[in-house]
Amino acid sequence: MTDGSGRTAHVAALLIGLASVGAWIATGREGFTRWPDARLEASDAPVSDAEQDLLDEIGVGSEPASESARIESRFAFGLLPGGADPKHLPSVATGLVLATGVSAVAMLRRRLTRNPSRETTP
Amino acid sequence: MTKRHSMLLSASAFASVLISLTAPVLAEPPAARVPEPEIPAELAAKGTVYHTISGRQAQVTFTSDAPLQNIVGKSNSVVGYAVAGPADAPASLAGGRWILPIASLATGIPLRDEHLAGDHWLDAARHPNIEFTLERTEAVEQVKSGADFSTWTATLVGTMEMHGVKKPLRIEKAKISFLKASERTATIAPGDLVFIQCGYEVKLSDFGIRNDDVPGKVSDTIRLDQMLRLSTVQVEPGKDQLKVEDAAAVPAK
Repeated sequence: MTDGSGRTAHVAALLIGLASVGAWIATGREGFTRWPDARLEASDAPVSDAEQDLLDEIGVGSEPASESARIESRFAFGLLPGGADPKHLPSVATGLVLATGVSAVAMLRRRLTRNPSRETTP
Repeated sequence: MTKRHSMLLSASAFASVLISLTAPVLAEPPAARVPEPEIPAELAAKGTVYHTISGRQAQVTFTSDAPLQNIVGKSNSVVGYAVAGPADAPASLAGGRWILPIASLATGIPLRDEHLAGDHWLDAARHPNIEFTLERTEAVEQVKSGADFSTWTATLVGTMEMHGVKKPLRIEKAKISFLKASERTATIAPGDLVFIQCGYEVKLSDFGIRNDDVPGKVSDTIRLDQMLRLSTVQVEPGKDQLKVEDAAAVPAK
């Protein structure tokens, strides 16, 4: 591996790390990665006006979920993977591991390609 | 290896990782549905049978208010039935049974859902459902009525089974409303409707659930709020159309 390609790998690693942190900040600084969940969307869907009127009339409240009871159904790039499912694996931690891996491979390859030339030099 | 080859290799590897990570996003999670429990014939003969409508708004919301974190979870996959009491006091329910699949509980964090269903908590592999069997109602009082509805309060008395442990449970001040089928109720579901709304607390330790995270991260006392919609007509989960018969083919007793 040439010095140029090694440098490219390090830059790529740095970009992956920065992109991961940027995605984490941009998506709400959540602890764990998550995706929109159809079950949660259905659970928090507001009742129709007609149904709400009916419920009010019969005296059975169906108050909208309070803020503390609302679970956001959206994508968040978390600090840590959100589960074992592959789609939950992307996270800052995964990005940093990937970036470190890319850098480490670049450094290893550089070392391996340099050593033979040293051995042949008297 | 040239710089160009190295960049191409990196780009293709990165693309492969991205594709493998995002492809499963397109797949819907497996539906955590269970069939409605069978209604014993002798119970069904006692009154009008109402089937729980699932797959819509949250039917159960649980809250754990612990010192270190507040956890809220929901399910809209409760199935079950209620059998109404006599015509002059339908809220004196003759019986009922509901099943909540643990796999349907969603807290917003998949990893937490996995832990919740794991063997250190609800152990869904061995005990996949939480069940409540209604044995009788007490303190039944009518609180409101109209031309085509009546609303009652009652204490629901029955047995809850969770984590393989059965415990008697009393749910006080439950609200039960009965509505005759009309144009207005048809916007919700076909058939005569019943709404059951209640709130109560259970202790995890009562059901043999013990974990080092209790009580710091998870409260031993879990608050449950329920809003069940039931119909004389079985409705396909999450849909408006009927599962088997037309509304007219299922007469209310």
